Amino acid sequence: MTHQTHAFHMVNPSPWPLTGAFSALLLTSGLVMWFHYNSATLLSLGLLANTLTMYQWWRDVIREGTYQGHHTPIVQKGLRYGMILFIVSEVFFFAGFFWAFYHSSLVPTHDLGGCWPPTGITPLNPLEVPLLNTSVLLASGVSITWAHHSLMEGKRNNMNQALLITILLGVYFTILQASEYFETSFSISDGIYGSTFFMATGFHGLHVIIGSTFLIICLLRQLNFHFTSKHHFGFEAAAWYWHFVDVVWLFLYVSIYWWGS
Amino acid sequence: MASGGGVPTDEEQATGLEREIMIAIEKGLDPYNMLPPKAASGTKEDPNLVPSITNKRIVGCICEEDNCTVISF
Repeated sequence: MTHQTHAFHMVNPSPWPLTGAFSALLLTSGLVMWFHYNSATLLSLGLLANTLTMYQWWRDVIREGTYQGHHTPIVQKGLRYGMILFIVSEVFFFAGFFWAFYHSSLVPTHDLGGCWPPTGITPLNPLEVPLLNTSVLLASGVSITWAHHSLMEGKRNNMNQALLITILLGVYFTILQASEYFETSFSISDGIYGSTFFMATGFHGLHVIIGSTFLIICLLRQLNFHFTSKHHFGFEAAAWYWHFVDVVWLFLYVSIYWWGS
Repeated sequence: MASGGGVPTDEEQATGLEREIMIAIEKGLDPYNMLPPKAASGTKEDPNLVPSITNKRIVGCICEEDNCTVISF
């Protein structure tokens, strides 16, 4: 029986890239139908297809890595590069929204009153809930680091606690931010202020939800003993993503909430 | 409330190819060619041996240690 003489992972054929591509088509066309023709059918199908793809694809990655041992050191290295490159692409994604914000706020046009915040806009007080949100995310950065060190030191109980605390802080942020969204006297359609505010903070909030979900998956895996003290890249990837989300918030807070008020 | 221990180690839990490689490294072996091959002096008497499933193979040269470019030939 022939077998490979290299340490790379030759993945078995899989349907998930195809279903993922289909879900992307359904999502995009679904958004068009929802925005313009008041129909949510395609979009719902797209969300379902996308969720199923993600669940099954990543379930398979876990099976291949944790249960079958395909994630050799070099394979892990590739996964690390992949996650880093993905996060870099997300940095550029947010850079666009920050560019838009600074473009409009550094040289406010006369129809805004030549000032920022524009005439008529009452921004949120940065020293109230936004400051609390900052402390919540910073604290979650501390707790996730505690979780990581506990994992590396083999301390299961500490790790479980610290990861749970991190998740709870993330959820707390989401709840606080959602309540803030109801508190604003302005909406997304209130000029360029509303647009830049809600696009930037909105996508950030989405990333907090994504990051929290990733962390919850890690907690479930940790409870099932998937992670070893040396090999736990899924957790590290979640931690990197979480720190990225935290850093984006810091930029948001300083730029939009603080300077922008 | 929290006590130490309880996290599995690779020694206990690694499986498959990952485990094979882990055990081989502990013994100082490299059955899956993860490391660059050790260079021989490259003379007729002490040639660099290149394993192959046919009678030729493309190899890559890292001309100086720490070079990032690999020259294939």
